[in-house]
Amino acid sequence: MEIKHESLKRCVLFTVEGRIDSSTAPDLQQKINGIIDQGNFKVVVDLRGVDFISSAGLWVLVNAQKKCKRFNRGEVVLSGVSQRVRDALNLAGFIPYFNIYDDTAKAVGSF
Amino acid sequence: MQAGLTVQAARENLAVLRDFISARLRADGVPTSISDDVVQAVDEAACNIITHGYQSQPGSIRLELVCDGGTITARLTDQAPLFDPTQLPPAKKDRPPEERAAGGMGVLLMRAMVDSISYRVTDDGNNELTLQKRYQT
Repeated sequence: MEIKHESLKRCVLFTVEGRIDSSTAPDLQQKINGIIDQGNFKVVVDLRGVDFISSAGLWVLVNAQKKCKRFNRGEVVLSGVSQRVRDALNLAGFIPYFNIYDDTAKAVGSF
Repeated sequence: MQAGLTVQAARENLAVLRDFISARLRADGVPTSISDDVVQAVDEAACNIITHGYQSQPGSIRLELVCDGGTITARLTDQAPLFDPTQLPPAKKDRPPEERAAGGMGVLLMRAMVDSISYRVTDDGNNELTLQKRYQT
């Protein structure tokens, strides 16, 4: 799994590639938490390159959302969600907790 | 098709199990959407064995994969202390995440991805978890 992040004008954009399982999820959690703890509560996670996500990965996204939503207008939004990842989010009942955009530019523009 | 693989019970080996299943089912002509479901279910099951069964102590996991007449069977055997994941309460999907305890999600996904899950203790005293998924040939 590869994780990149970029600080934009109104949010931080994470680009994740590969597979998020219980082996790699802690790395993603650490990186996202590091950015949130620096005071960035508006986060886009581009999942275009993610073809597998396990329950451990879903919890990373949900925990990040919980952290960000504690702050005024803080939010994690998702983009580039494949059907596979969307199915996992749906089965877990997590779809209502995320704004999901097909296009990363639109996700960034939502802030 | 019948194939098997034994891995050390480590999270790093979940990818090995997933790749093995994907490759074997692809070679057998199983649709990707079906094999992806089996991959996800086995990943969650193996993760539970590592976390709850072996409690991250050393051990091994044996996977037997059979694809026959439109039924895929994935059987996981381990020597961890006896642990029946089918008795784990599934996550309460309808509750907001704030009210959910961590965990339980793996069981929920596992159950959703396959048609049946059964657990038994083998004659050798090992855990054996069997996941089955049917598909149109």
